[in-house]
Amino acid sequence: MKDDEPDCRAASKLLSVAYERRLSADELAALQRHLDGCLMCRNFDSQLRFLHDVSQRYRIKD
Amino acid sequence: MTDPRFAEIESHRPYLLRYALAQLRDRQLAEEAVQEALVAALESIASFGGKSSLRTWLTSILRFKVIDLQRRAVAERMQQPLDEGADGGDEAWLDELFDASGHWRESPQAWSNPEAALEQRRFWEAFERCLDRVPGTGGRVFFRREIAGEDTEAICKAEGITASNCWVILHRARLALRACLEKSWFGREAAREG
Repeated sequence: MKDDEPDCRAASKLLSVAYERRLSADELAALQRHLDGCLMCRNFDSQLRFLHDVSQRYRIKD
Repeated sequence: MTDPRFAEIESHRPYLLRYALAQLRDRQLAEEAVQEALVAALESIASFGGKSSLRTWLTSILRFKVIDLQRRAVAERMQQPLDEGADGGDEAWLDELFDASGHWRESPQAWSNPEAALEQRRFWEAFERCLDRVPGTGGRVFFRREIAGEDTEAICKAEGITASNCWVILHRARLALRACLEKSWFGREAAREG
């Protein structure tokens, strides 16, 4: 892992914060490098997308 | 003659109650807020132009009722020392999820066919139970942000917290909700129970 690459703890936070603000180019590049080599954080990323989708559907469902 | 939209308004009561409960964490206050919002909606239904969905319009009315109650709570909280741990300033709680080297203590596993869950009533019941279990400020902020779709800045202002605290609170809520769904629906424990 490179010095400027986030660990899982920091990567998971960036994945979450990305729903609130636009990540900088440096943040995005570092996050992508981490995701490329981390299946666990890719799973977490997919699960955050699912939670986001579920929450939106919950808003409109009867 | 009774406006047919009255029944339609009433049909949104369960969602509105869940919204109010997530914000107020007090059933009696939540029911009171919803009742007042529905009465206000019935009184002003002629002004509903249909530019937004009925649910969105009702939620915006309810939001004002909830804000009144929250404003009182924030004012009371301002009188007390800020609990940084509860409001997201302290990230020590992440130590439970990540080891000293920053790796997951318990690896997130791929969820099997999550889209199929959306078609199952029991999944939505599990989702509601997990929402209820997201603690304190996190549950309230998550509901407003992710479910009601409110702007983060407005939520921070209403809660009296900074944007960065708000992001940490949301992160914590997402982690809690993810863990709850993994345990109650997607995980091995759920498979054994199922």
